[in-house]
Amino acid sequence: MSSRQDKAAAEMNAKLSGAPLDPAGKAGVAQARGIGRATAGTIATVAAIGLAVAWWLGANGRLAGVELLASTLGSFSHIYLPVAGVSVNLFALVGLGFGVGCLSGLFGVGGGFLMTPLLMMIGIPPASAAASDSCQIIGASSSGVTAHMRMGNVDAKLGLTLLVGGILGGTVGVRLVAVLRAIGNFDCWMKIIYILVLGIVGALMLRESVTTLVKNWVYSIRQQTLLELVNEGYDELKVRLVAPAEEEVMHRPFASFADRLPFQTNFSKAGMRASYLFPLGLGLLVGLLTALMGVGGGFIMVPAMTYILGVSTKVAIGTSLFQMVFTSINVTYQQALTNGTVDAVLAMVLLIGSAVGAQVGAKLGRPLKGHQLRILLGLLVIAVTVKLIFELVLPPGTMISLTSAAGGH
Amino acid sequence: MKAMRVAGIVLFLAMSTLAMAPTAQGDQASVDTATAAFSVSVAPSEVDIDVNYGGGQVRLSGTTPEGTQVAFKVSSPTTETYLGKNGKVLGVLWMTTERAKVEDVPEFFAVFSSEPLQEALAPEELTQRKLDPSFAPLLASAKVVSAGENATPVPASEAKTYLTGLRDARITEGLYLVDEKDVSVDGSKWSASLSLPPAAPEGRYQVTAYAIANQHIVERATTEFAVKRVGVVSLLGNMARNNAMAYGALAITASVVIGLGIGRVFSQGAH
Repeated sequence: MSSRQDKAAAEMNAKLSGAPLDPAGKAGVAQARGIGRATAGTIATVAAIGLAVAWWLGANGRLAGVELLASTLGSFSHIYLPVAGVSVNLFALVGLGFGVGCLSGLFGVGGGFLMTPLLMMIGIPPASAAASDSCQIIGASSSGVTAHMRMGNVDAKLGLTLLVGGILGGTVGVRLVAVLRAIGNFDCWMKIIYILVLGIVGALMLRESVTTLVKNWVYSIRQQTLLELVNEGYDELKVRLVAPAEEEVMHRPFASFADRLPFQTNFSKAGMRASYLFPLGLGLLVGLLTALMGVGGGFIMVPAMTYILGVSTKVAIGTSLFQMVFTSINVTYQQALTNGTVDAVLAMVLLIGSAVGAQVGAKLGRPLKGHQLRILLGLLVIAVTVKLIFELVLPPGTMISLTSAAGGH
Repeated sequence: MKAMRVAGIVLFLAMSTLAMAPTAQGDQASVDTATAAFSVSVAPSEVDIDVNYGGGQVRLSGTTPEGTQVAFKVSSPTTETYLGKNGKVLGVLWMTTERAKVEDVPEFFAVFSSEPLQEALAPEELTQRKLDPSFAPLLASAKVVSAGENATPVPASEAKTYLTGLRDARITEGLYLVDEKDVSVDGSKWSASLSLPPAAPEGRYQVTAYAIANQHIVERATTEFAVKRVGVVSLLGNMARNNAMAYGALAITASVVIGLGIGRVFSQGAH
């Protein structure tokens, strides 16, 4: 048996016996760093939960001792959004930002696709929800992209090509928002776009992760059976007792199409050769979606770069964040100029909540495996899609509804 | 001397006629005697929409002739309101299929009284003064036209559907209020507390108060208060409208600074 096979078999035995696999001791270092990173998040979370509980207890007369605190917090419980023109509960808004941030930290996605529909559900006008979400994405991605740049995970050439497409798409998208608002039914159009995009992404994500889950399950049963047979003396089966490759050769759908496009060039940091047209088109699509849906587009950008172009996940995430910052800046600015729907106060409150939540989410997600996280995310995406479908197909509570002069709500 | 005697007889006859006149004329007499006694005042005279605004509270009070009931209405300035009628598209999707514009209706309207109005006031008074708790007289003066560049009047049956929908939406938002018991009258003093919902619009609100006796309005007094944006809310709202370039740049800069700041806090926590 080769030394690789011996090592693989030993790893498999260790896995089956439940012992941790950490030959390089990397997990220990990561854990130490994680504990430090988690400290600030935990303190912030505990403080936020403590304040919320104290306010609730005081407001409901449960504890006389916290009445003063409750009345103080109560006077700050509402926040008036100057551009959206609505007053909302501050704790609900921070909690929403925190919750979506948690999910984004947990699943490694931006969370914009959840934020906008949830904002609409708490009464923020759809156009303001999308535009303000774009604004908060700038801040949320800024810190991420600086960290990725320090680690060398940003392919500037690829990022700039995506960005050119993103700015074009974003500019067109903002004009499209104005046209859709003028036609009327902007919220319906927005929901339809959400249903299409989230439905496709959620279904693909679930399909891929469930396939991986089933494969892993079948593989572990096979290995366990082989191990039992080897232990019973069937030594010739030892050669078949191998661990799975660290990363399987990735299947790249549409790769041949992408490889045949003209204007091929090398993207050195990403370690691949591709046509300028592909990232340009991808950026255009994501820019459009940023304007229409208020999303960062990472949930499309990262899978497209990894599955179609074969870029490593880390570089795909770093480069996606790079273009996301600038595309969101462009969209926010255009929305402020063209539609006047960016609510800076809303964006800042969401940003603070989501940034803290992302740190907590990252800690919560550590014990879960990649495909398990993707199944949960896929289910979440499908749940949001189903909710939006119901909103469109079920009869509304009233046949007459208030709309804005521009046609949307 | 004779002339004075004749004048005295005429005066006596006139007073006797007034004393024996029907109820409505008797009410008119009580108006005359109570003119100076009825009043309304509001505090505060300005409700500020600041960053913590979650609705406002104003207190209305005044004096009224003994034995009268009190009612008042509060109205924000009239605006144009756009409404959409939902219908099925492609047999599956519920979307706005028609739109209309309603003119000359206030966004906020409240009717308060010390007694149930249907019992306290004659029907014609309810209609004339727009005090009907159904808001029907208020909406009757509204103009409903099709939305769009070439606005044309909407047929009466359609207009009624839109106005009913508008009334229901306003009631749901807490913008159309009726309270027929919380005006307290204590001798010659009356008072009430009005809660403005968070969605109450900006503007000068007209308050018209009435003293009621024998199912008729006998006195009327008016005042007003303002709801206006102040501080950061006013600054940012005006900036977003009037200086969008600077506002956009400010929003982006603030987002970058806060994002990088939070990232720095957590990265320091990691070391």
